[in-house]
Amino acid sequence: MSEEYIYTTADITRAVNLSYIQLKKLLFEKGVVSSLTGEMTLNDDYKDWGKPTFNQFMKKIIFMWNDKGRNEIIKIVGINSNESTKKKNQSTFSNMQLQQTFKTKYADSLLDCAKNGSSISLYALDIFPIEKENILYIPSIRHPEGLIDKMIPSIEHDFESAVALYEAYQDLSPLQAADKSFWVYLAHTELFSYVQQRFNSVLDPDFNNSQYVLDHWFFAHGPLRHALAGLWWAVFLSVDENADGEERYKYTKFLFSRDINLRTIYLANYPLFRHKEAAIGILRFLMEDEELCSVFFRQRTRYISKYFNKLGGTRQLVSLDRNFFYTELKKIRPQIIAIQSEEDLKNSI
Amino acid sequence: MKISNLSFPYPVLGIGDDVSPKPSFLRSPEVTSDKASYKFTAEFDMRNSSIHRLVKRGYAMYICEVTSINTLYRKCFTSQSPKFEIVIPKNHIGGRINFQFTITVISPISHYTNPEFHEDYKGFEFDLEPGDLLGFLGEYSYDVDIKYDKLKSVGSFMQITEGPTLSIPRFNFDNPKIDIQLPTAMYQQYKESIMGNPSFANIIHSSLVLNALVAAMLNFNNFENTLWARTIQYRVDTEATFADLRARNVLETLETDDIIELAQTLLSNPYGRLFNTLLLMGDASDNND
Repeated sequence: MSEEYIYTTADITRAVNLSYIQLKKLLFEKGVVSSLTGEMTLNDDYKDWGKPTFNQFMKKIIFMWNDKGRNEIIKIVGINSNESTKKKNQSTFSNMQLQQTFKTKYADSLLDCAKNGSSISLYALDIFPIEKENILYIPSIRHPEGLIDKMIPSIEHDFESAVALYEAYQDLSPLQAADKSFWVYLAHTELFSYVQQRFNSVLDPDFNNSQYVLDHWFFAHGPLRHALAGLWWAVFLSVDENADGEERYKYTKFLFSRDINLRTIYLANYPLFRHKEAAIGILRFLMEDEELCSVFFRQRTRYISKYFNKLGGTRQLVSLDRNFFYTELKKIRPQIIAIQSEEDLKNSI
Repeated sequence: MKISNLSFPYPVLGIGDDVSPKPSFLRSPEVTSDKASYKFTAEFDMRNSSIHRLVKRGYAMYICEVTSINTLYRKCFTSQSPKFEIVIPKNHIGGRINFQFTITVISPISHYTNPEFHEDYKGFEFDLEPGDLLGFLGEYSYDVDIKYDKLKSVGSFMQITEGPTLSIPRFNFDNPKIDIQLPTAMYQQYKESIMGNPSFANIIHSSLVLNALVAAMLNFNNFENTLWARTIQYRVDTEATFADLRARNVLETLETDDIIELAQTLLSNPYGRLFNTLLLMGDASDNND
């Protein structure tokens, strides 16, 4: 149990599902605090539960609790397990009808704190502390129920999580999806536990890597590598709107079935992949050629990107449909198969 | 595709003098919008009759490739004539939108030749595939984030906000607008007694605002993708007032003297307005005496 004073009173009220006034009244009745009004002042027997502390995140002195204080309060209130606490807090979010997001300035301040390392320890908490006054509603987006339960925090289930996220936010326009504040909000609130467990290095006792937080909770390397935005955009770029049911996601499934870098670097980060027909034509070719994909997959997909990059220098590729890309790759298959090392890739084209 | 400085393996109308007559915009592209979408209209003067016939016969088409990096948007719009009316939902694009207009082959063309080929290509024939270019008409960019109807207002690229943890004013250039952050007490004074008071506007412009603007412009390269930088770039590129500075490539060289001149031009002679204000204040004070 940590001695550090890391929980605000707001964290505790969320954990026990009581308002501030209700909590203070209960603590007063139990003799923990000496007064119903004014500042939080602990009686002598409870002085080791919390104290006024400088909060790095809020940049001022406020009353903060440690693990002991938090756990004892939870016992007093009668909620015993962290799991039920988490689920209860998640359901608090899902009571809203409209989707919420952060004010841009607040999202920027979270980024600043991550960059300077002052908030790194907060990413190991059950709930990330936020300032509720910096939350806005998005009038055009309905809040999806139960999304956190559909997202499975493991690389093997990235496809299922991505489809769940994409379908939960079917109403999201590309312009809204380009709003970083929205994804920063989800990653720090409703889907915080998913991101934390998916990228669980933050839970290591000695974790102190700001860049790791910036990579997954923010946009250090663009939208495709963000823990949540990357999932949504990967589906958006590869879903076949001409197909029905599960068939819509057959190319998406392939995109997620291989090396994660396929969808974050080798293909999906290339401008040509923004052209849906190119994306589908290329993915169809790869899906159908088990032999080609079985070895040197990374090098061969990078070769394909290089090939079309060069071709696109003198040809209007965005005017061409998926059949062109599929057929063109069939034509150059011997060249692709010939790529059998980094050296071959370097010397190609 | 990046067309400038590109050399194709066959003659392309609009690239150098490969094929004549060179096409051009008939007028500046127009942008209109309603609640849901933008409409971009562009029309070209394209007078090569051989290419015109190939389009009519279905071998080629006028194509506009539209890209919006912010929203990963990349689409082609087609036309049977050198006039485009492109409608795009507002919620599909953001920031700078790039348009590239071409005449593109859509069905294979064997033995392509053109009486308007440059001398060097006379007598040659070329086999063209779908995607190959017959012509490059032009390029155009439009920034949907810039408030074009409020460009001359300082508020289009600058704002004054509260910096609760600050002890002295600071400037932040990493936001959509240049941010002048004031310590809380100063910000309260600004809000209560200075903001909106016309007597003080010229003093604020020639001090706080001018300082922040010069500092921002000297760091322009580091923040060129911000909205404030794009707004200033647009003004410098398009307004007659900045013709001289444009000719001196002020936003590329960032020469200190030029930057100071640019900042004063953007703020419409702030020192002149300061001196006038001070004189008026002096006169008012004399009258009170």
